[in-house]
Amino acid sequence: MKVKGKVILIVLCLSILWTMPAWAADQLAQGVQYRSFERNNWEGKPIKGYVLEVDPGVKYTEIRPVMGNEVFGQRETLSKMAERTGAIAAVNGGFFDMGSGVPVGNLVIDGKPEYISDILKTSVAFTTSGGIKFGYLAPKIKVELTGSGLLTMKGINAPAVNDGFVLYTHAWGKEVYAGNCLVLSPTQNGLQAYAVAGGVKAPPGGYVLAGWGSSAGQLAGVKEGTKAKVITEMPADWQNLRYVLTGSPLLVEGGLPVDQAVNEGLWGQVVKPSPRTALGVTAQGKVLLVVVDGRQEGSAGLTLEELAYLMVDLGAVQAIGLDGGGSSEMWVKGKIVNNPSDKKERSLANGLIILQQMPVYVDYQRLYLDVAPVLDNGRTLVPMRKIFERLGADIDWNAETQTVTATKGEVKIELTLGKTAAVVNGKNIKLDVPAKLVDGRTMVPMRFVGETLGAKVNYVTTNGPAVHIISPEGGTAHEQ
Amino acid sequence: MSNKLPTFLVGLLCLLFSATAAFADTTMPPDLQQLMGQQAEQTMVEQPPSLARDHIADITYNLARDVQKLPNGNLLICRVGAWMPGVMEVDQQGQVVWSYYGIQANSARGLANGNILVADSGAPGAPYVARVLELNRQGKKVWEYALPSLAYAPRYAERLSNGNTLLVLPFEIREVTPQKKVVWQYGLGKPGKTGQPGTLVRPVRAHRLGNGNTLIVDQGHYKNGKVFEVTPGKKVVWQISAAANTTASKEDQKLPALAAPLDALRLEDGSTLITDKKQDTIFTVDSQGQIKQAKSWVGLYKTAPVTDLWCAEPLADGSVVIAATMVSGRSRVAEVIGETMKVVWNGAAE
Repeated sequence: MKVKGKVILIVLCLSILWTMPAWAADQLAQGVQYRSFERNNWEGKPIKGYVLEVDPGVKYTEIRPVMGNEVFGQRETLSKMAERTGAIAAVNGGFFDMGSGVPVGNLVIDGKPEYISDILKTSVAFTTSGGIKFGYLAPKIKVELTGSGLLTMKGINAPAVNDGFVLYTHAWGKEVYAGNCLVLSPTQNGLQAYAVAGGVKAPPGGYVLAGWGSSAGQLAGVKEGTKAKVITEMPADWQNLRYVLTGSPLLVEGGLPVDQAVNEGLWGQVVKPSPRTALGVTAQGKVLLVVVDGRQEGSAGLTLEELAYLMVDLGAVQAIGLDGGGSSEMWVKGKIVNNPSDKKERSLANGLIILQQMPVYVDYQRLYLDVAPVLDNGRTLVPMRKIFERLGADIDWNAETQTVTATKGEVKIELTLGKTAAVVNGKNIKLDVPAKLVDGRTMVPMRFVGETLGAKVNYVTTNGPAVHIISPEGGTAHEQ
Repeated sequence: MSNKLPTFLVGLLCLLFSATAAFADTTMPPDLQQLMGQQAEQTMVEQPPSLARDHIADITYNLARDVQKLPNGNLLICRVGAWMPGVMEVDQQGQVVWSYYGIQANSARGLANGNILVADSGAPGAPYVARVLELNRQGKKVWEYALPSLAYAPRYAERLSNGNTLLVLPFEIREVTPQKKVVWQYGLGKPGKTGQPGTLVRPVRAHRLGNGNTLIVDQGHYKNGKVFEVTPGKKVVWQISAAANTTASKEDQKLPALAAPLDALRLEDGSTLITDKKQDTIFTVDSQGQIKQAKSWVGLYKTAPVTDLWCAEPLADGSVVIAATMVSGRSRVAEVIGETMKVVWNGAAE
């Protein structure tokens, strides 16, 4: 090759190497991109912003609300939420009461309401078919008890009332004391009710139905094993909802800015230039999660009106504001990438995480895997420790022999990396796929482990592919 | 010795000249002295703002977005927010004498027929339709003009003498007949570029004038607000903007400039009253678009601090009717008397 040609080739290679880090930084995962920007606000002051663009159509992609420590009202930093759930990225979620952690508005996770409200603010919902919807939602919760009729709830995960019913989910996390309580326990045939005396916690996948005042009498005499059904009444055009989160205000409709902040009850410091978080959707169906720094030198913040125009500029045809101020945070691949105005992470009652992993539920509780499951020869491999511990097994790892030993009761399982045979209580059992090391993590075949420990493992495709594992106990001591 | 004498004489003369004014004072006629004294008091003693009405509502779950003073002296208030929004008429004792709940109204105006014309934002709750509607006193809807989405939520509506309705939409001023036919409009109907003809940045009010023109108040986004008059043919024939008043005289330059106009009123003498959100000030602007006077009611806030001024309607006598949210979250609706507001004369609002 002539000298001139070599020089051109070297320059070309260096150019590619120089741009590659930028490409790598922007593409977090298939269909998930991250970028930052700087511009001036309307006052001519600088602002810094951060954008996640997510294609919800990519397999296993979820933009999922999570509660602090998975317990209603508890608070947790966004970093911790993201790290324990194996998130690709995350932003803060909806508004919440700073004292109690109760969300301001609705919170629905996996189609199950954790909190409902008729507060006049805008909600955003993700449907089971991957759609996204913005608008006003005020669900009603009813419980149908066979033989007792339909009971209307005054709330869900709400404080006690003088007279009426309140439903509590497992996320309530505390014992419920009421005039009368029924536990609605999940079974293969749906929910079944049984009465309890004294305080009681809702089981995973189940509820506590509490009655006070004259309503308490309606629960007395309900026979053990009575079938129960929890009905969430939604408007006809708000069906098959997977996640719902209330924000405020509606920012963009039909690609045009909407001026609705005051009408949704926002005033004072909230409407002044501030740090912001927003969620929007583009005409192509991509979801935008945007954070703008504020109240600091280098980024003055935006008014809500400016935020609406920004979302339009970024391509949103619909958008909603989420909690802002000191709550505004974005986490990407291991760190908070923006500059929270509190100068540190705020503990949040809820956040929005981006996941790309096959959903796995153990005893109706989501099993977050900090390393995404791997599909190998039609079998799903999951991180060793998470699955064994969730199913109540003790595990031991022998680094020398590369063998994990899991013990639960009288069952002892030995899996050696790379071996297509496992040893169960001394007997060799052939495996379709062996345990293996993936990115430094020991991954074990999920179905084999679950069924050997006596669990039922079901792979379902309704509302998207997911694995549901029901342990022999129907609930475990270790839920995270 | 000879040098000291001239020095002494010069000093004595200086002393005598300096005492001349004092001597003159004693010869001023008493009535002239009294008049001068009164004038001095008038220019030196500033009257604090005072109120004809002050309605502070002990409600923190929603906000007083808009107010009109009705001919009977009552206040027609729009309350908006996350709980129990509605339109209500409040009498001078603070009692609600009429109400219509479940509507997030950006403005409400009493009509000559007794009905109420409402600019409904369509914000939550039902029916979530941005519209203008006329309600009778029984709460029945007698006329409605719906807009296609929440992005077209009307900010203000007024009934014209020809029976048509003038609407202020986010990027457009529109006149519609009772049959809902659009017979006049101004603006692009969508966000425009700076300097693009017909661009309305953030219009908040529009009033039809006696000469058939329309007075438009565009609050702008930040120091780019303006108030201007357009003909039916959409020609701008008068305006004042938040940009520096470059043709002002040295005296006028001491007055603050317009920042974020909220409302305007054309007076019979051709001058225009304009209220300003950022400065809690009412400006008097002459027919050449020059600011002649600026009065601020911000002194009111000393005892009841306001964090958000939502509405400030100028009245023909120079008074202002305001609707605001206080720092405490409570609402304040007040009529500030024009004569007693502080005159901002030296370029510094209080």
